Amino acid sequence: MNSTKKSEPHDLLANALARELLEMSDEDVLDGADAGATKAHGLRLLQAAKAESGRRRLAAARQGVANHRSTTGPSNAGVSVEVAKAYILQAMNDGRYTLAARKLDEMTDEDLLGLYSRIRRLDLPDGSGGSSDK
Amino acid sequence: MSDTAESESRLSKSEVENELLHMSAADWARAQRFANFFSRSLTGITGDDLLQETLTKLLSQDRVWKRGLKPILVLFVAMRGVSSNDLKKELNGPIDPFKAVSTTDEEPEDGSREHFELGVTHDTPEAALIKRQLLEQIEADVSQDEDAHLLLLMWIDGVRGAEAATELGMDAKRHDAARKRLARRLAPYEMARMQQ
Repeated sequence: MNSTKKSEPHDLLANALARELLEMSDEDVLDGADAGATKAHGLRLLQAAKAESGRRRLAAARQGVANHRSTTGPSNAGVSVEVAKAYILQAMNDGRYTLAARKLDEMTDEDLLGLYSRIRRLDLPDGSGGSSDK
Repeated sequence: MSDTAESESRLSKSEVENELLHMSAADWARAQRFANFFSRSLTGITGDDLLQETLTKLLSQDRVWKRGLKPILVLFVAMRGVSSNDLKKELNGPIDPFKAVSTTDEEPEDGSREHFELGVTHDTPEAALIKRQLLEQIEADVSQDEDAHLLLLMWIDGVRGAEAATELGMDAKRHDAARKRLARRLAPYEMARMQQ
Protein backbone atom coordinates (compact mmCIF):
# COMPACT_ATOMS: atom_id res chain seq x y z
CA MET A 1 0.00 0.00 0.00
CA ASN A 2 2.67 2.47 1.04
CA SER A 3 5.60 0.48 -0.26
CA THR A 4 6.64 3.14 -2.73
CA LYS A 5 6.49 5.97 -0.23
CA LYS A 6 9.73 6.82 1.48
CA SER A 7 9.42 6.78 5.25
CA GLU A 8 9.79 10.15 6.92
CA PRO A 9 12.51 10.57 9.58
CA HIS A 10 9.89 10.85 12.33
CA ASP A 11 8.30 7.57 11.18
CA LEU A 12 11.69 5.88 11.16
CA LEU A 13 12.45 7.19 14.63
CA ALA A 14 9.07 5.96 15.89
CA ASN A 15 9.73 2.54 14.37
CA ALA A 16 13.17 2.36 15.98
CA LEU A 17 11.85 3.44 19.37
CA ALA A 18 9.00 0.91 19.22
CA ARG A 19 11.40 -1.91 18.45
CA GLU A 20 13.84 -0.82 21.14
CA LEU A 21 11.05 -0.70 23.73
CA LEU A 22 9.89 -4.17 22.65
CA GLU A 23 13.40 -5.58 22.90
CA MET A 24 14.26 -3.94 26.22
CA SER A 25 14.04 -6.12 29.31
CA ASP A 26 11.07 -5.53 31.58
CA GLU A 27 13.43 -4.13 34.19
CA ASP A 28 14.94 -1.62 31.77
CA VAL A 29 11.61 -0.49 30.42
CA LEU A 30 10.23 0.07 33.91
CA ASP A 31 13.32 2.19 34.59
CA GLY A 32 13.06 1.92 38.36
CA ALA A 33 9.29 2.43 38.58
CA ASP A 34 7.21 0.19 40.82
CA ALA A 35 5.62 -2.57 38.71
CA GLY A 36 2.44 -2.69 40.81
CA ALA A 37 1.92 1.06 40.61
CA THR A 38 2.62 0.99 36.86
CA LYS A 39 0.01 -1.67 36.21
CA ALA A 40 -2.49 0.01 38.54
CA HIS A 41 -2.07 3.26 36.62
CA GLY A 42 -2.63 1.46 33.30
CA LEU A 43 -5.77 -0.19 34.66
CA ARG A 44 -7.06 3.19 35.84
CA LEU A 45 -6.67 4.49 32.27
CA LEU A 46 -8.45 1.37 31.02
CA GLN A 47 -11.32 1.97 33.45
CA ALA A 48 -11.61 5.60 32.35
CA ALA A 49 -11.54 4.49 28.70
CA LYS A 50 -14.30 1.98 29.38
CA ALA A 51 -16.48 4.69 30.92
CA GLU A 52 -15.79 7.05 28.00
CA SER A 53 -16.55 4.31 25.50
CA GLY A 54 -19.93 3.78 27.23
CA ARG A 55 -20.68 7.50 27.13
CA ARG A 56 -19.90 7.65 23.41
CA ARG A 57 -22.06 4.60 22.72
CA LEU A 58 -24.95 6.20 24.59
CA ALA A 59 -24.51 9.47 22.70
CA ALA A 60 -24.40 7.57 19.39
CA ALA A 61 -27.55 5.60 20.32
CA ARG A 62 -29.39 8.82 21.23
CA GLN A 63 -28.29 10.39 17.97
CA GLY A 64 -29.49 7.30 16.12
CA VAL A 65 -32.93 7.53 17.74
CA ALA A 66 -33.13 11.24 16.93
CA ASN A 67 -32.17 10.56 13.31
CA HIS A 68 -34.74 7.76 13.09
CA ARG A 69 -37.46 10.04 14.46
CA SER A 70 -36.61 12.75 11.97
CA THR A 71 -37.01 10.32 9.05
CA THR A 72 -40.04 8.34 10.18
CA GLY A 73 -42.50 11.20 10.57
CA PRO A 74 -44.87 11.76 13.47
CA SER A 75 -44.61 9.65 16.58
CA ASN A 76 -47.38 8.23 18.72
CA ALA A 77 -46.29 10.28 21.71
CA GLY A 78 -49.31 11.66 23.51
CA VAL A 79 -51.86 9.89 21.29
CA SER A 80 -54.47 7.90 23.20
CA VAL A 81 -55.78 4.55 22.01
CA GLU A 82 -59.22 6.15 21.53
CA VAL A 83 -57.85 8.90 19.31
CA ALA A 84 -55.83 6.36 17.31
CA LYS A 85 -58.91 4.13 16.90
CA ALA A 86 -61.04 7.08 15.78
CA TYR A 87 -58.40 8.11 13.25
CA ILE A 88 -58.22 4.59 11.83
CA LEU A 89 -62.03 4.34 11.62
CA GLN A 90 -62.13 7.66 9.77
CA ALA A 91 -59.52 6.41 7.32
CA MET A 92 -61.55 3.24 6.78
CA ASN A 93 -64.80 5.20 6.34
CA ASP A 94 -63.47 7.43 3.59
CA GLY A 95 -62.46 4.36 1.63
CA ARG A 96 -58.70 4.92 1.65
CA TYR A 97 -58.00 1.77 3.61
CA THR A 98 -59.76 -1.52 4.13
CA LEU A 99 -59.93 -3.24 7.48
CA ALA A 100 -62.74 -5.23 9.04
CA ALA A 101 -64.27 -3.35 11.98
CA ARG A 102 -64.30 -6.61 13.89
CA LYS A 103 -60.56 -6.94 13.46
CA LEU A 104 -60.02 -3.45 14.83
CA ASP A 105 -61.79 -4.45 18.03
CA GLU A 106 -59.58 -7.49 18.38
CA MET A 107 -56.34 -5.55 18.11
CA THR A 108 -54.17 -4.84 21.13
CA ASP A 109 -53.52 -1.22 22.11
CA GLU A 110 -49.95 -1.59 20.90
CA ASP A 111 -51.06 -2.88 17.49
CA LEU A 112 -53.64 -0.12 17.23
CA LEU A 113 -51.03 2.56 17.90
CA GLY A 114 -48.69 0.89 15.42
CA LEU A 115 -51.37 0.88 12.73
CA TYR A 116 -52.21 4.50 13.54
CA SER A 117 -48.54 5.40 13.12
CA ARG A 118 -48.34 3.64 9.75
CA ILE A 119 -51.49 5.29 8.40
CA ARG A 120 -50.28 8.68 9.62
CA ARG A 121 -47.03 8.17 7.69
CA LEU A 122 -48.98 7.19 4.55
CA ASP A 123 -51.10 10.30 5.00
CA LEU A 124 -48.11 12.62 5.04
CA PRO A 125 -48.18 15.01 2.06
CA ASP A 126 -44.87 13.72 0.73
CA GLY A 127 -45.87 10.13 1.36
CA SER A 128 -42.70 9.52 3.29
CA GLY A 129 -42.43 5.98 4.48
CA GLY A 130 -45.55 4.95 2.60
CA SER A 131 -44.13 2.55 0.05
CA SER A 132 -41.80 0.83 2.47
CA ASP A 133 -44.44 0.39 5.13
CA LYS A 134 -45.23 -3.18 6.01
CA MET B 1 -14.21 -11.14 3.41
CA SER B 2 -17.75 -11.98 4.57
CA ASP B 3 -19.23 -10.17 7.57
CA THR B 4 -19.04 -13.35 9.63
CA ALA B 5 -15.42 -14.06 8.74
CA GLU B 6 -14.52 -10.45 9.45
CA SER B 7 -16.23 -10.43 12.85
CA GLU B 8 -14.49 -13.69 13.73
CA SER B 9 -11.08 -12.25 12.80
CA ARG B 10 -11.43 -9.30 15.17
CA LEU B 11 -11.76 -9.33 18.93
CA SER B 12 -15.08 -8.49 20.53
CA LYS B 13 -15.33 -5.65 23.06
CA SER B 14 -15.13 -8.05 26.02
CA GLU B 15 -12.15 -9.86 24.47
CA VAL B 16 -10.37 -6.53 23.96
CA GLU B 17 -10.96 -5.64 27.60
CA ASN B 18 -9.79 -9.05 28.75
CA GLU B 19 -6.54 -8.80 26.78
CA LEU B 20 -5.83 -5.36 28.27
CA LEU B 21 -6.68 -6.47 31.80
CA HIS B 22 -4.02 -9.17 31.55
CA MET B 23 -1.28 -6.96 30.12
CA SER B 24 1.91 -6.99 32.20
CA ALA B 25 3.24 -4.01 34.17
CA ALA B 26 6.21 -3.77 31.79
CA ASP B 27 3.92 -3.65 28.76
CA TRP B 28 1.89 -0.89 30.41
CA ALA B 29 5.20 0.97 30.85
CA ARG B 30 6.07 0.35 27.18
CA ALA B 31 2.66 1.66 26.12
CA GLN B 32 3.01 4.71 28.33
CA ARG B 33 6.48 5.52 27.08
CA PHE B 34 5.41 5.21 23.46
CA ALA B 35 2.40 7.42 24.21
CA ASN B 36 4.70 9.99 25.79
CA PHE B 37 6.79 10.03 22.63
CA PHE B 38 3.82 10.61 20.31
CA SER B 39 2.16 13.16 22.58
CA ARG B 40 5.17 15.44 22.07
CA SER B 41 3.82 16.38 18.63
CA LEU B 42 0.38 17.23 20.04
CA THR B 43 -0.44 20.48 21.80
CA GLY B 44 -2.02 20.12 25.23
CA ILE B 45 -2.24 16.33 25.04
CA THR B 46 -0.33 14.19 27.51
CA GLY B 47 0.81 10.62 27.01
CA ASP B 48 -1.96 9.52 29.36
CA ASP B 49 -4.54 11.37 27.22
CA LEU B 50 -3.29 9.67 24.09
CA LEU B 51 -3.16 6.22 25.70
CA GLN B 52 -6.66 6.59 27.17
CA GLU B 53 -8.10 7.79 23.84
CA THR B 54 -6.49 4.80 22.11
CA LEU B 55 -7.95 2.41 24.71
CA THR B 56 -11.36 4.06 24.23
CA LYS B 57 -11.22 3.56 20.47
CA LEU B 58 -10.18 -0.08 20.86
CA LEU B 59 -12.95 -0.76 23.39
CA SER B 60 -15.48 1.03 21.17
CA GLN B 61 -14.16 -1.02 18.24
CA ASP B 62 -13.57 2.16 16.26
CA ARG B 63 -10.14 0.61 15.85
CA VAL B 64 -9.85 -2.99 14.81
CA TRP B 65 -8.02 -5.49 17.02
CA LYS B 66 -7.17 -8.44 14.81
CA ARG B 67 -7.24 -11.78 16.57
CA GLY B 68 -3.85 -13.28 17.48
CA LEU B 69 -1.88 -10.05 17.89
CA LYS B 70 0.01 -9.17 21.06
CA PRO B 71 -1.72 -6.38 23.01
CA ILE B 72 1.40 -4.19 23.13
CA LEU B 73 1.76 -4.36 19.33
CA VAL B 74 -1.89 -3.46 18.84
CA LEU B 75 -1.49 -0.53 21.22
CA PHE B 76 1.63 0.74 19.46
CA VAL B 77 -0.01 0.67 16.03
CA ALA B 78 -3.32 2.12 17.26
CA MET B 79 -1.59 4.89 19.23
CA ARG B 80 0.32 5.92 16.17
CA GLY B 81 -2.89 6.14 14.16
CA VAL B 82 -4.73 8.05 16.87
CA SER B 83 -1.88 10.53 17.31
CA SER B 84 -1.72 11.06 13.56
CA ASN B 85 -5.47 11.71 13.42
CA ASP B 86 -5.28 13.99 16.45
CA LEU B 87 -2.53 16.00 14.79
CA LYS B 88 -4.67 16.39 11.66
CA LYS B 89 -7.65 17.44 13.79
CA GLU B 90 -5.47 19.95 15.61
CA LEU B 91 -4.43 21.46 12.30
CA ASN B 92 -7.96 21.44 10.88
CA GLY B 93 -9.66 22.94 13.94
CA PRO B 94 -12.31 21.45 16.23
CA ILE B 95 -14.59 18.71 14.94
CA ASP B 96 -17.42 16.65 16.33
CA PRO B 97 -15.80 14.45 19.00
CA PHE B 98 -18.26 11.63 18.28
CA LYS B 99 -17.55 11.49 14.58
CA ALA B 100 -15.67 8.36 13.52
CA VAL B 101 -12.45 9.76 12.10
CA SER B 102 -10.97 6.38 11.37
CA THR B 103 -12.45 2.93 11.47
CA THR B 104 -9.48 0.96 10.31
CA ASP B 105 -6.09 0.16 11.64
CA GLU B 106 -2.69 -0.43 10.16
CA GLU B 107 -2.07 -3.83 11.61
CA PRO B 108 -0.38 -6.61 9.70
CA GLU B 109 -2.73 -8.90 7.82
CA ASP B 110 -1.08 -12.22 8.56
CA GLY B 111 -2.28 -12.45 12.16
CA SER B 112 1.16 -13.40 13.44
CA ARG B 113 1.81 -12.45 17.04
CA GLU B 114 5.44 -11.73 16.25
CA HIS B 115 5.28 -9.92 12.94
CA PHE B 116 5.14 -6.17 13.44
CA GLU B 117 5.39 -3.23 11.11
CA LEU B 118 4.35 0.23 12.15
CA GLY B 119 4.18 1.43 8.59
CA VAL B 120 4.16 5.09 7.70
CA THR B 121 1.65 7.83 8.30
CA HIS B 122 0.09 10.08 5.66
CA ASP B 123 1.06 13.56 6.72
CA THR B 124 -0.17 16.85 5.42
CA PRO B 125 2.62 19.37 4.74
CA GLU B 126 1.71 21.14 8.01
CA ALA B 127 1.94 17.90 10.01
CA ALA B 128 5.24 17.04 8.34
CA LEU B 129 6.56 20.47 9.32
CA ILE B 130 5.55 19.98 12.96
CA LYS B 131 7.33 16.62 12.98
CA ARG B 132 10.45 18.11 11.44
CA GLN B 133 10.47 20.83 14.09
CA LEU B 134 10.00 18.20 16.77
CA LEU B 135 12.98 16.24 15.43
CA GLU B 136 15.11 19.38 15.54
CA GLN B 137 14.05 19.93 19.14
CA ILE B 138 14.85 16.31 20.06
CA GLU B 139 18.24 16.60 18.39
CA ALA B 140 18.98 19.76 20.37
CA ASP B 141 17.89 17.97 23.57
CA VAL B 142 20.33 15.10 23.13
CA SER B 143 23.16 17.03 21.54
CA GLN B 144 25.10 17.13 24.83
CA ASP B 145 25.17 13.32 24.99
CA GLU B 146 27.46 12.33 22.13
CA ASP B 147 26.68 8.60 22.05
CA ALA B 148 22.93 9.12 22.37
CA HIS B 149 23.06 11.82 19.69
CA LEU B 150 24.91 9.56 17.26
CA LEU B 151 22.46 6.77 17.95
CA LEU B 152 19.53 9.13 17.37
CA LEU B 153 20.93 9.99 13.95
CA MET B 154 21.21 6.27 13.17
CA TRP B 155 17.61 5.63 14.24
CA ILE B 156 16.36 8.53 12.12
CA ASP B 157 18.23 6.93 9.25
CA GLY B 158 16.42 3.64 9.86
CA VAL B 159 19.39 1.81 11.36
CA ARG B 160 19.19 0.39 14.88
CA GLY B 161 20.24 -2.48 17.13
CA ALA B 162 23.51 -4.32 16.56
CA GLU B 163 23.82 -2.84 13.08
CA ALA B 164 23.84 0.69 14.54
CA ALA B 165 26.36 -0.34 17.21
CA THR B 166 28.67 -1.76 14.54
CA GLU B 167 28.41 1.31 12.34
CA LEU B 168 29.17 3.56 15.31
CA GLY B 169 31.99 1.32 16.55
CA MET B 170 30.32 0.86 19.97
CA ASP B 171 30.67 -2.30 22.01
CA ALA B 172 27.47 -3.92 23.31
CA LYS B 173 27.71 -2.37 26.77
CA ARG B 174 28.26 1.17 25.50
CA HIS B 175 25.51 0.78 22.92
CA ASP B 176 23.08 -0.57 25.52
CA ALA B 177 23.76 2.36 27.85
CA ALA B 178 23.36 4.87 25.01
CA ARG B 179 20.06 3.39 23.80
CA LYS B 180 18.63 3.44 27.32
CA ARG B 181 19.55 7.10 27.72
CA LEU B 182 18.12 7.92 24.29
CA ALA B 183 14.88 6.02 24.93
CA ARG B 184 14.57 7.81 28.27
CA ARG B 185 14.85 11.19 26.55
CA LEU B 186 12.54 10.31 23.66
CA ALA B 187 9.92 8.53 25.73
CA PRO B 188 10.33 9.52 29.35
CA TYR B 189 8.73 7.52 32.08
CA GLU B 190 7.01 9.80 34.52
CA MET B 191 8.54 8.59 37.73
CA ALA B 192 7.23 11.42 39.89
CA ARG B 193 3.60 10.63 39.13
CA MET B 194 4.09 6.88 39.49
CA GLN B 195 5.48 7.33 42.98
CA GLN B 196 2.45 9.29 44.20
